[in-house]
This record gives sequence, C-alpha cells and structure tokens, in this order.
Amino acid sequence: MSIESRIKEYSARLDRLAERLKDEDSSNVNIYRNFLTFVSDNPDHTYYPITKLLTAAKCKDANQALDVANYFSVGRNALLNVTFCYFDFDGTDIRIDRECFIDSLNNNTPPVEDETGYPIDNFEPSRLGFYCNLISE
Amino acid sequence: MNKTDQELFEVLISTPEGKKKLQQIAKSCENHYNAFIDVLYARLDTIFKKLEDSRDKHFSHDEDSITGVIAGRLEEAGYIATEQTKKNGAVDLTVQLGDHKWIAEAKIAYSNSKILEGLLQLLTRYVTRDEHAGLLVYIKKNNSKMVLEDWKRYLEGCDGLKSYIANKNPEVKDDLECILNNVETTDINNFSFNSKHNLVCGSSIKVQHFCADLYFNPADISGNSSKKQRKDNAINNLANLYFEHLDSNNSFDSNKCIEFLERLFRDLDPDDISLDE
Repeated sequence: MSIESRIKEYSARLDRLAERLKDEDSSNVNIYRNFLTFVSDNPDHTYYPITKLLTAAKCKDANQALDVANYFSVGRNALLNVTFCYFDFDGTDIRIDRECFIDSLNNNTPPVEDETGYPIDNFEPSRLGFYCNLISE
Repeated sequence: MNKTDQELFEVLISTPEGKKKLQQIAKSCENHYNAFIDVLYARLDTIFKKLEDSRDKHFSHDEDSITGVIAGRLEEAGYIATEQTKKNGAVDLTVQLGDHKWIAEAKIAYSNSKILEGLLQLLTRYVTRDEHAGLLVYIKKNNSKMVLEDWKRYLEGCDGLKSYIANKNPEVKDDLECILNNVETTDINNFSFNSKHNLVCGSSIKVQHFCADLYFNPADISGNSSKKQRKDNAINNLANLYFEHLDSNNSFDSNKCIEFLERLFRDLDPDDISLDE
C-alpha cells in the first residue's frame, strides 16, 4: 500500500474519530491531523525521532508525542515503524529489540545490542527510547 | 522546548504514566494475542477513569452513547472499534488490532439480573472461539464499590443466581448451569475483576468486568439548584428502584418512589403536560 493511500486511510479514520469524540472535553484528533498534514507536506522526510514527532504534530509535551507514535504505528496499514534503541553516552543510537526494551524498562537489565549480541556497557535505564521511520511501500 | 530525544525519553521514563505508555507501545508492536489483551485492558482502565472524569455528562447518557465514547477513545489509541456489530445478534463493542479481536457487552447496573442478561448475551450468543471477552458495567447509583462486590457475589453463586436459573425456561437451564456453575473470580482492582466460565462448547473463557462509577449528585449550591440534575437523578433513581424491586422478594418501597416522583415533577403544572414530549 502506498504512503498516499495510507495517509488517505488515516485521514478518513480521523474524520470518524472527530465525529465520535466531538462532545468530549479533549482529544488527540488535532495533533494527529497536524502530524498527517506534516507527512503529506514533507514527502522527503522519512526519519521521525520523538523530537520531530513532537514538533510535526504540535504536541504540548512528550506524552502526546508518544500517543502520535502509537496511533500511527499500530494495526494494519500503519504509517510509522518503531525501532527501539539505547542513546549511548557518545551520542550514538544503538538498536535493541522490542523484548529487550520491555525487559530493560521493567527490570533495569542491560539490553543486548542488535548488531553485536553483547549487553550494553554502563547501562543507564533513562537512556532507553525509540525512533520511527515512515513505512515504505 | 529544546530537549534532545534522549532528554525527552528521560522525562518520560521518570514518570509512571510515561513508562507505562512506552511499555504499551512496545507490547503493541508484538503480534501476540496475550500482549494485545494486556495492552487493551490497561487502555480500557485509563479510558474508564477518563469516563468518570466526565460523569456529569455521562450520568444522563444511555448505554449506547457511553459505549460510543469508549469506542471513540479506543480508536484514539489506534484500535478499530465498532459498535453493534452483527454476530448472532448485535455485539455492543468489537475491538480489533491487526489479526486480533475482542468483544464486549455493555450494561447499566440497574440490578444484578440486568447485568447477568448482558453476560449471558455475551456467553451464549456472541463468543465463539474467543479466549477473552469483556463486560462493561456502568454504575449510575451511589456506593459503586458495594454494587460491584454485590455483582461479584451474585456471580459466584448466591441464592439470587440460583433463583434466576430456576425461573428460566427448561430448555436453557442446562446451558445456564454449565456457564454459571462454579464461576471463579479474581479481583484486578477496586473497579474490575475477571470471571472464568465453562462454555457450552466445552472450552473456557475469561471475562473481564470493567466498571465505571457514573453516579453524579453534586451537593454544592450550583449543583443542588440545577433542575436538569434533579430530574436526571430522579429518573435514574426510579429506574434503579424498579429494577432492584424486580430482583428482590421485598415489597415495593412506595415512599421512595413518591420521593423520586416529587423530584421529577416538582415544577410541573399538570395542565402543561403534553404526551408528545
């Protein structure tokens, strides 16, 4: 499915969502729409770290940026793919798998680097995170 | 906000809410049924809390409207949530994510037998190969804690349940006994528990009971003087009184009924009654 078709599908879903939550005091419809507009207007952007999710969707905080990452990455015909990582002290992003991420988050156990298969040295739980990529066709 | 990616995650991980959301995102990426159920139940718990934050509105809403809001909130979390889906009848809520599906029936807690009707619809009409399903219970009367505990006791096999089964048609009694005999329950928190049932087909199912306390009766001056609030409360109280009476062997509490009718009709001029309204 092309990116354009995915955007169109999400746009229709958001119209339905806006209708359903129209009487509720707050919802994420606007930030989801902001993100979809950003993706449509910037087809050359494919890498979406959390800082970019936050600004593209005009979120008020990082919690809302998590909602954006979740909404556009789950289910069929998702727009984003999530890669879990560890932000090392030297500024590099080390890829880790999803199960390691959950285990490290819950139990503070050092995750294993995807590339080397070795546990990360000097592990600091607050340096866990993820980034997203636009799903290619 | 000029924070780096790592700094933003550091802030998120330092709060229970942020940490929980990160876990949910990671689990949602997994295509396992149990992970789907875990995350769905955690999200429903959050949605029910949010629902209670707007109980001033939902107190006067009907069952379908409340379920509609829950479906909307689930869609907001990325699920495909539909209401009144056809499946041997109309299922109140169907939730899908990727290959996984979960269904639930909703009921306003007017009485234990009313809630039981919802559970029986779920277990004798809608579930097929499901391992988990849900019962959404909306409580519009005071003492929600007692209502929930009472419902759990009822389900665990009190006399009320036995008399409910005894009063059913003989052709469904065997099935009811299969489903409702020796029900095991497990508390999850003050607002939810799960029950395990043997189905007629021979397999078993776990039903998660989610309860929303939507009782709203503000005692401050503006709340107390609101005509709409008084009337909505009176209608809810009358419905509760009527359905509770149907479940009990006690005589009807006509004094209570008159009290609620007085609240409903306090400002009414009988000459203005129009049957079209």
